[in-house]
Amino acid sequence: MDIRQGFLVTLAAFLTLSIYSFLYGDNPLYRFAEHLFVGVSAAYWMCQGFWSTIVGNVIPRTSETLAAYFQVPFKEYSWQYIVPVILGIILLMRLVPKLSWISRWPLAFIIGTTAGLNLPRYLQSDFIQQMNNTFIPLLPDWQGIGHFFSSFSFSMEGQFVQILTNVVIFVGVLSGLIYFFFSKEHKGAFGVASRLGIWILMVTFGASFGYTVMGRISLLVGRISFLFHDWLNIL
Amino acid sequence: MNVGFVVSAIVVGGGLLWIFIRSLRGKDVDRRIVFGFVGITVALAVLFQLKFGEVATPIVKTLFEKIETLPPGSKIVISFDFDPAMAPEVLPMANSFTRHALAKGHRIYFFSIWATGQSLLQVTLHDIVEKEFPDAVYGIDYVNMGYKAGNEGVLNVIITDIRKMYPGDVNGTSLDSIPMMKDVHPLKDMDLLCQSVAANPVSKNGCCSLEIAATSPPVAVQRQFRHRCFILTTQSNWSVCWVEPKVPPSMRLSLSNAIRVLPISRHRPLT
Repeated sequence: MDIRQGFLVTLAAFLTLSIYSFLYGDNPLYRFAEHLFVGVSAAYWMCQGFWSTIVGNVIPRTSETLAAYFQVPFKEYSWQYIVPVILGIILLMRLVPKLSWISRWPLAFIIGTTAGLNLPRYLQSDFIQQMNNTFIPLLPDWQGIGHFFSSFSFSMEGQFVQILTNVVIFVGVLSGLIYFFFSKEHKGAFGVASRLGIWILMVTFGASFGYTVMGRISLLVGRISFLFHDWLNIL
Repeated sequence: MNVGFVVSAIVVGGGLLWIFIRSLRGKDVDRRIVFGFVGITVALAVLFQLKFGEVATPIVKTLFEKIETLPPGSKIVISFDFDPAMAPEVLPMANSFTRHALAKGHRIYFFSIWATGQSLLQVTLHDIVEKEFPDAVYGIDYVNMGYKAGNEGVLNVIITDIRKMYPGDVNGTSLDSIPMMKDVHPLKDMDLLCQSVAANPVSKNGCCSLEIAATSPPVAVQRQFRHRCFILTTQSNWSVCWVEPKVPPSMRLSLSNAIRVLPISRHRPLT
C-alpha cells in the first residue's frame, strides 16, 4: 500500500469513526463528517448528472462542436432536447427572488409527468399484482389425500408447507382487512377475526423490523471488516 | 468448537443476560451500552472469523437455475443501483450474479440508475471480471452502459429503444460500434433483467411497463418476460419481482447472502 492509498484509507476510517461517534452523543467530529458527506454527495450527483445527461444525452443531439469538444458521438439533431434544458434553466430561477415564481412551472411539469408515468405502473405492480398474489389456491398441486401423505415432507418446496403458507396468506389478508373494517362492531366471530388481524399485523411489522435490523447489522459488519482488514490490516 | 466461538458466546451471552436481568428489575439500559454491545458482538464475529451455515432459499435456487438453463450467449441486464453504505449487503449478490453469468458464457449489460452505482460497478469489474475472467472482452462479453438519471423515466424510454436514452456507452463509444449491441434495441430483447438495488426497485414497475407498453409484443411474450425479471434488493418484500410459476408467492422471501453458498461462489468472505 503506497502513502496515498494509506492516507485515503485512514481518512475513510476517520470519517467512519466520526459518524459512529454520534452513537455516544452529538459532537464536532460527527458534524464535520456529516457536512462533508452532504457536500461531497451533492457535488458527486451533480457531476454525474452533468456528464451522463447533459454531455451524454443533450449535447450529442444539439451541437456537433460541443460533441467533438466533449468527445462524444454526435447523433442526428433533435431540437426537442432543448426543451428540458430550458426547463432546467427556469428551475434555477428559484435562486433569483424576483423570478422565483417561474420555477414552479418546470416543477409542476416534473411532478405531473412523474405522477402520470408512475400511476399505471404502480397500480399494476403494487395494487393489481398484490391482489393477484392473494388469489392463490389453498390446495396447490392437489392430487388426492393419498398423494399428499405419500409425498409428505416439511421441506420448503413440499406440498404441506405450500398449503400452510397459502392458508396463512389467505387468512392473514382476510383478517387484516377485517381489522380495518369499522362499519361493523367488532363482536363475536367478527371480533375474533379482527383480533387475529391485529396479531397478523404485529407479526408482520415485527418480521419487517427484524429484517431491517438484520440488514443494518450486515452494514455494520461491512464497516468493521473495513476497519480491521483494510485499515488496521489485522485480519 | 474453537476459542473464538467460546469467547464470543461468553461475551454475547453475558451481555444479553445482564441486559435481561436489568430489564427484569425495571432498570433502564443506557442506549450507548446497547450500541457498544452490538459493536463488540459484531467485532468479535469479524475478528474470530466465525462462520455460520448458510442454506440457499428457494428464491436463490430459482435464480441460480434460471442462469443455468439460459443458453450460452444470452443477454443479461445487471443494474447496479445502490450506494457504498449498502454495498456490504448488496454487492455480494451482484458479484455472485456477475460471476455466474460470465461463467455460463452469457453477455452482460451493466446499467446504473443510481449515480453511486457506477463506482461500485468498477469494484465488480476489477474484482470479478478482470481478475476471475481475464479472457472476457469488453464489447463482446460485457458492456457498461453507464449512469442515467431519471429512474422510472429511464426505464420508460429504454423499454421501447435503448439508443434513445443511451447514444453511447459509459466511455462515449457509439452503441452501433459495440458488437454485443448490434441485435439489441428495446429492453425486451434481453433474456434476463436483474436489478441489484438498495431501495425501491424501479424495475419492478419496469416489468409492468413491459406489459402495458404500447409497443409491447403479444400477451404470451409479455408473460414470458415477466418470468425473466429478477430483483436483488435489501427490501424483503421486493426480493424478486416475478419468478417461475413453480415458486409460490409465499416463498418470495429475502435473497439474503445465501446466494454465496452456490457452487460457483468464490468471493472473498466478509472476514
